[in-house]
Amino acid sequence: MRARALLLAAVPAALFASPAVPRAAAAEKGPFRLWLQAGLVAGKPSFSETRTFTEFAEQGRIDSHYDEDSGPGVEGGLGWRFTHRFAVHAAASWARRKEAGSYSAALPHPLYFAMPRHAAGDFSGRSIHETAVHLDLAVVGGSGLEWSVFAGPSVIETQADLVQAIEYTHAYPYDAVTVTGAPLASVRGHALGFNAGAGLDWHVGPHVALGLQSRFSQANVKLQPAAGDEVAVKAGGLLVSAGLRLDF
Amino acid sequence: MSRFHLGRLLLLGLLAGGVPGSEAAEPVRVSAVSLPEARAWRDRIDALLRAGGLGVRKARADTLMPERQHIRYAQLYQGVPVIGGDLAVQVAGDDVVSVFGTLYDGIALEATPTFDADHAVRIAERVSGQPLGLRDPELGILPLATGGFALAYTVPVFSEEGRVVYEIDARTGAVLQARHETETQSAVGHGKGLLGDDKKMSVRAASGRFLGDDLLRPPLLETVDTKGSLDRVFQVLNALIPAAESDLIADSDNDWTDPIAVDGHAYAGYTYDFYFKRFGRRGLDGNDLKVRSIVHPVRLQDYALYSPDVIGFFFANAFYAGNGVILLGEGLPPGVTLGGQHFTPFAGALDVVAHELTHGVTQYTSSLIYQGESGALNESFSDMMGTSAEFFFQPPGSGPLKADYLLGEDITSPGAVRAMDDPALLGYPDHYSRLYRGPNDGGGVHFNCTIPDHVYFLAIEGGRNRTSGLTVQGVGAANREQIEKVMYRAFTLMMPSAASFSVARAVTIQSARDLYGAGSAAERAVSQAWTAVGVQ
Repeated sequence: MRARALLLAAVPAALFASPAVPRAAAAEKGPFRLWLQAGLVAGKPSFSETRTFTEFAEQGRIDSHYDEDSGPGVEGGLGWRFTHRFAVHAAASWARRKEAGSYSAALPHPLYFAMPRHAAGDFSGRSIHETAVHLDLAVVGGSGLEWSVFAGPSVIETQADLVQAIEYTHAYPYDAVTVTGAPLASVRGHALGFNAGAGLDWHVGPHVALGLQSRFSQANVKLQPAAGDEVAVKAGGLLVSAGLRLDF
Repeated sequence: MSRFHLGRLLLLGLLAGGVPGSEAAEPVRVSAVSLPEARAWRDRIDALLRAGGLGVRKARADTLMPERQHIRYAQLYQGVPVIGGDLAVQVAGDDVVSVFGTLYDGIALEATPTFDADHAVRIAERVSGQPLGLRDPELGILPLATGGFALAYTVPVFSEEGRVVYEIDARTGAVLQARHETETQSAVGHGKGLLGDDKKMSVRAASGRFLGDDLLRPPLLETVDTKGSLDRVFQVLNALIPAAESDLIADSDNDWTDPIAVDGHAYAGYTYDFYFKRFGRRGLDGNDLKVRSIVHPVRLQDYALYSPDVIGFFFANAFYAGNGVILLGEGLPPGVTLGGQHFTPFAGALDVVAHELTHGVTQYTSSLIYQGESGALNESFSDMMGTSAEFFFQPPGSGPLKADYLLGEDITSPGAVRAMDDPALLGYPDHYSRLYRGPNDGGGVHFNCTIPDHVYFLAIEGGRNRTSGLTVQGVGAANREQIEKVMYRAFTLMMPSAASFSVARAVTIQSARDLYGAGSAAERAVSQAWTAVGVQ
C-alpha cells in the first residue's frame, strides 16, 4: 500500500516538475517504443481458504494456507509518445512465484456426528503464475537519461495450485485417518486492478536504451476451486525489472 | 463326508478332449480335503495341465500359514477359459492339502469366434444404448442355464442401471445373457432417534434403496422390521424362514424417518463399538457374530387384540433371543401403563439395547445359568454393561440421553426399570438379606440382579448402602473404566456358569487384583462394595 501511494503521488509531481525534453530529440527517436525486460517479482503475500464439504451425512472442513515467495518475472510492451510529455503504454507481464502451503482438515466420522477426525499436512515446490495486461498513461522526461512515471488499469490473471481434497484411508473404528494425499488442482481467475510505476532509461544509441523499471500492480482475484467456493487472492505485487528499449 | 465324486474320474478324459454331441452343462463340484483324495487330485491336475485342460491363473503365499501356498487353476477348453470353471488348490511343500472348485464336463463346440472383440463391443453398445469406448472383452466358454455351452464375449457396461455384464455369443452375435452385477456398497445416512437426537445410519445401498445392514462395522449388524407381524417374528426367531432383504428396515433417500428403526440400528452399532473400544472385544462371540435386531414386532394399534403374555413380552419388553438376535418391543399405546409405568419403544434406550446384546456376550462366555443367583448375575452383567455403554457415549446427568445409573430411564415413565445407585428406590433389593428366594422369574433373576448392580455402582461412585449402612470408597467416576474392566474380565473370562453371589465376589476381587494389583483402589472398592451389600 505504501508503494502504491508513493507511486500515485509521483505521477502529478513528475508531470509538473520534470524538465522539458527538446521536441527535436523526441522526434528523432520516433514516437513508438518497444521494450522487453526481465526481473524479480518481490514480496511474500499469503492467502487462506476454508472449504466445507459433505461426507458421511455431515459437513467437513479443510483449512488451507498458502504462502507465496518472490520469483522471476518478464515484461514486454509498446508505448506511444503522443506529446512531448505524455505517452500511453500497453504492456504484458508474466511472473511466477514459489508456492508452499499447509492444510488442516476436520473429516466427518462415518459412524458418529460431531466426532471429526483431524488431518494436517503441508506441501511445497508448487508455483503461482500471474499474467497481466497493463494500460498506462505515462509522463516522461529527460533526454540521455530518461525517466518516466506511469499508472493505469491492469487485468491480472492468477493461476494457483489449491488443495482440492484430503485423500485418506481409515479402518474400523474409524477414529483416525491416514492421509495418503492432498491433491492440488490448478485454478485460474482474473480481475481488474491497477498498476503504477516508474522507469529510468539510459540511451546507449539513437534508438536503443537500457532501462530499469519498477511496477506495482494489484487486483483482487477470486479463485473458484469448486462450485460455491471462492478464494480471495491479492494478485500482482512489485516487479522490478531491467531490459532493452527500442524507439522507432 | 467327502463330496468328491469318484464316479467323475471320467472327467479327465472329457476335459482333455470333450465329448462331441454332449449337451450337458452340469458342473462337477470338487471338494477334496482328505490326504488320499487331495493326493489323487495332484496327479489329475498334473494330467490336466499336460492335456491343456487347466492353466495356472494365480499362485499366492498364505500370509497366515507361511508354509502353505494357494494355486488357482482355470479350466480351459481348446485354450479358451471356461467361465466359472476353476480349482483352488492348497499346497504344503509337495503335498496337496485341499482342492476345491468346479469343473465342467461335456464341452463340445468350435472355440473360434466368427467375429472380433470390437464387433462384440458394438453389439453391447447397441443393446445397452450406452456409448462404449475401446475395451478388450474376454472370450470364454459360457455354461448355459438351459444346458450346453457357448463361446461368448463378456462385455461389462456401466449405465444408470449399474454394472450390467453382457455375454455375447462369439459365433452368432446373439446376446446370451445380460447380468446385473451392481455390487452393494456401504452408505451413511442420517436419522432422528425417538428422543429427537441425530444419528448416523451405517447402511447398505442397493438398487436405489438403503437397507438396515451395517457394512462399516466388522460384523454384519442388520435390523429387521417385522412390520407388526407377530407371525413373521416367530418365523424369524424360530428360523423357519430366513429374514429376507425385504425384511430389513429400508429408506428411499437415506434420511431415515422411522425413529424406532434409527435407534434400534444405531444402538446395536454403538454397543459393538463400546465393546471393541473399551475391551477390544469383537462382537458377542468375540469373532464378529452377526447381530440381528428386530423392531416393530407388533403394532400399537393391535394392542387390544393381544393377551397379557404377548403384551408383556413383545410390547413392554426387549429380549435376547439367542445367537445374536435381539427383539426390541414396541412399547405401550399412549395412556396405557404396566405396573404403573408407561413404556415407549425399547429401541430408544442405549442401555436397554446394550443390556440385551450383553446377554449374547454372556451366552458365548460364562454361560451363566439363567436361574437363581447365577441368573441374577447374568442379568446384572447386562445391566453393568448397558450402563457402561451409556456412560461411554452420553454425558453424565439426569434426563433424556444422559448417562446415569438408571436402567431404561429413556423409555420409561415415571422412573426407570431398575436403579443401580439406589435399588430400593424402585422396590428392588440392595442387600443380600433382601434376596428374593421364591420361584417366580427364575428365582428372581430380574429382581435380585440389583444386588450386584449396586456393587458395580458403589465400586465406581462409592457411597453408603442403605440397608447395611456400610460405606464404600469407590474408584471415582473418572476411573470408571477400571471397574468396567474388572467386571468385564470377571464375567467373560473367569466366572463359572453356576456362580453364586459369593463366587462372583471372589471372582471380581481376583479380577481387580489381577488388573490393578493387590491393595489397589479397584480391589478395595470391589471388596468393600460386596461387603456393603452383605455378600461374603
